[in-house]
Amino acid sequence: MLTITNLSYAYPDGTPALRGIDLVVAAGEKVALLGVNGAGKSTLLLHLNGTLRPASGAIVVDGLPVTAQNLRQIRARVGLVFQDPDDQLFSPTVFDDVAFGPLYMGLAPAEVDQRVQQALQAVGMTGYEQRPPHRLSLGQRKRVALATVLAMQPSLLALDEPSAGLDPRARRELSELLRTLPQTMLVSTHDLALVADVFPRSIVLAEGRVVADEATSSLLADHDRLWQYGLI
Amino acid sequence: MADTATAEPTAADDGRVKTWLALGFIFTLAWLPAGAWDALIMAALALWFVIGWKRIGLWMIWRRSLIAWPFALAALTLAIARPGAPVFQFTIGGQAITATDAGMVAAATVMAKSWLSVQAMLTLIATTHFSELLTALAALRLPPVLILILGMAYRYLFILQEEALRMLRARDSRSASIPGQPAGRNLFWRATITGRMVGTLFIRAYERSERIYAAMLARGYDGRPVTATQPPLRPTDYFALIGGGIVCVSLIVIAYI
Ligand SMILES: Nc1ncnc2c1ncn2[C@@H]1O[C@H](COP(=O)(O)OP(=O)(O)OP(=O)(O)O)[C@@H](O)[C@H]1O
Ligand SMILES: [Mg+2]
Repeated sequence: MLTITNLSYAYPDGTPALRGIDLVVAAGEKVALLGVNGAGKSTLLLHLNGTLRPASGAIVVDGLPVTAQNLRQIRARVGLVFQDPDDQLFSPTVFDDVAFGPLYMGLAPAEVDQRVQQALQAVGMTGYEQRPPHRLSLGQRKRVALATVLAMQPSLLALDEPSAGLDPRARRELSELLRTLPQTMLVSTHDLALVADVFPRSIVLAEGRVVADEATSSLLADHDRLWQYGLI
Repeated sequence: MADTATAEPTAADDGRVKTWLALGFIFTLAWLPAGAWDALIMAALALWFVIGWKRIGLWMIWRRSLIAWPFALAALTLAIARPGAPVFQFTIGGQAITATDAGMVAAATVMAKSWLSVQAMLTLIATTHFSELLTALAALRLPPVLILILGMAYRYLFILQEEALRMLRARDSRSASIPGQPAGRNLFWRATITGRMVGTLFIRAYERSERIYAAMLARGYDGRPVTATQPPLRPTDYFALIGGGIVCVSLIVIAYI
C-alpha cells in the first residue's frame, strides 16, 4: 500500500529533517507515528502526497510512485491533513471547503452534497456548513480539516496530530471514528491514549530516523524506552 | 520576496550609508539639466561600476529595471510638448503633431534619468534588508509615524504573501483526479474558487495582522518604533559617503560647466 525507501529531506534553509526513512505499510494497517517535537513527523507526512519532494529516496502509494506527473492521482489516494488547520482550509465557508475536493474530482453535485454531510457528521460538525472556517475555534477547525479529506474518500489517510486541541469528548469521538474507518492510516500524534485505542502498530522517529517500528502493545509496555524516546 | 533578492556580498556595508548614497545619487540625477550627456554617461558608469564591484549582477538589475518603462512612455510626450525647432511631424486623428529638437532632448534626458534612478533603487533594494532601509530613513529624521506606516505595510505584505502561499498549497493538496473523471470541472468553476480565495485571503491576512498587533501590544509595544540603538559609522562608511559625495558633486559640476 505504502512503501518508502531511503527517504531523506532537508529544508531549503539546510535543516536536515529526514535521514534515510524506510517504511512499508500494508493495506488496511493503522500506524501511529510518534516522536518528540522536531523529530520529523510532519515532514514525513508532507511527503506522502507530494507537498514536499524528497531530496533522495522514493515513495510509492498503491503501486503509483509519488512524482510530479502523478500528483493528481496521488492526491486522490492520499488524504493529507496538515497539522495546522489554517494550512488546510482556504474557502469562505465550511461547506465550500469540504466540497472542494469532491467537486474538483468531478463528482455530481448530489453526490458531493451527500459526501459533505457524511464527512461533517463523522467529525461532529453538522450545522456549521455556512460558517467561515477562519472564524471557528481551533478544535472546530481541526475537525473541519479532517472532514475536507474524508469527503474525498482516499485510500490512505495521513493525519498530522488530529487530536491536538480537541476536548475530551471530541477525542473520544475521533478515536471511535479512526477505529471504524476502513482506510490505511499513518497518523502522527503525541496522544498515547489515542495510540493505544486505535493503532496496533507504532513507529517512533528521532532526528529524522526510524528508531522503533513495532507492535504498539510492546512499545507502550516498555516504560524505559518510552522515557528514552521522550514519549512520556 | 525581497529576502530572495538580498545579495550577501554587501551585507557588511552599513544600510544607512547605502540608503544615503542611493538617495544622493538620485537627487544628483534630478539636478542634471537636459542634454547633459557627458554627466549622464559618467553617472551610469559610476553606478555600473559599483554594481559590478559589489557583485550584484548588472544583468539582473537591468532585467528588473524594465519596470520603469511606463515612465519612458510618459517622457515621450515631452518630445511633442516642448517648444523648439520642429524635427518631424505626424498626424493622429487629423491632428498634426510636431516633435521638436528641444523636446526630444528633454524626453531622452528624462528617460535616461529615470532608468538610472530605478537601477540605483534596485541596487539598494537588492543589497539592503527592509529594516535597514527603515533605520536609514529614521536616521534621516523622517517622521517616525511615516516609518511606522512603511514598516507595517511591509509586514502586512509578507503576511499576505505567506497566507496566499499556504492557501494555494491547501488547494493543490486537494486537487485530485480519479480515473474516468475529468478533473478540475471547468475554467469558470476554477476561476470562481480562485476569486473566493482572494476574498478570504484578505480577511485572513487582515485578521492575522490584527492578532500580531495585539501580541505586540501585549508585550508592551506603545506605538513608538522599536529600533535598537545604532552602531556608530565606521571609517570605511565615512570613506564611502565622502567618495559618493565627491562623485555626485563632480557630476553636477561637469553638467554645468
Ligand atoms: N519550513 C521549515 N524550514 C526549515 N526547517 C523546518 C521547517 N519545518 C520544520 N523544520 C525543521 O525540520 C525538523 C522536523 O520538523 P517537523 O515539523 O517535521 O517535526 P515534527 O516531528 O512534526 O514536530 P512536532 O511534534 O512539533 O509537530 C525540525 O528540526 C524543524 O525545526
Ligand atoms: Mg509536526
